[in-house]
Amino acid sequence: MTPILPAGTPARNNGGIRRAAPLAAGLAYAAFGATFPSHSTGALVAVLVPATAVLVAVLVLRRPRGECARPGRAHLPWLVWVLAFGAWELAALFAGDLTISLLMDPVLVIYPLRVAGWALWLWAGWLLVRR
Amino acid sequence: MIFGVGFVVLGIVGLIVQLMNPRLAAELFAMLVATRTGRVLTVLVWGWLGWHFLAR
Repeated sequence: MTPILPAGTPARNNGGIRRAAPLAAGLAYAAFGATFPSHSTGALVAVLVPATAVLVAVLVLRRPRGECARPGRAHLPWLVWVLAFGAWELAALFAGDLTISLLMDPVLVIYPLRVAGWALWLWAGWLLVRR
Repeated sequence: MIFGVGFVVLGIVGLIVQLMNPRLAAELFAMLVATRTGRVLTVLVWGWLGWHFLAR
């Protein structure tokens, strides 16, 4: 017997589970990775595993080249900001001054915030694979 | 100290740019990962950021 559903109700799973599975896996891995403190072998391995997986995925998966805008004057402020940010972080790192990562250390010691940091990093990796 | 002040200035400038037009940042990212080389380099930077912030 066909169930009576209101108009517009999907009769089958519309891919919600397929979309939720990577999210749940990512959050679970973030919760797992955050259990390792900084400067530990566990943390290094936990970072290396997804980093290697994403690198392999990017090397193996072939994406069609889509239309892409060229950098113009409108993008210049962002480009300058990104380059200045990178240069500043590297300069502070080599000069032995405060880097953002050092400033973040007391924040990333707190477990829920560390999980959030891990989740943010994994989400960025997911975006790179999906591109 | 001077680097700390620099970070704050960069953050404020970044916020101003973001408020100006957030779409431009997404376009810049799309340009960055448009080629295979760009994608690989971006993944390497992403991996380094993960190690730098979460593991080192």
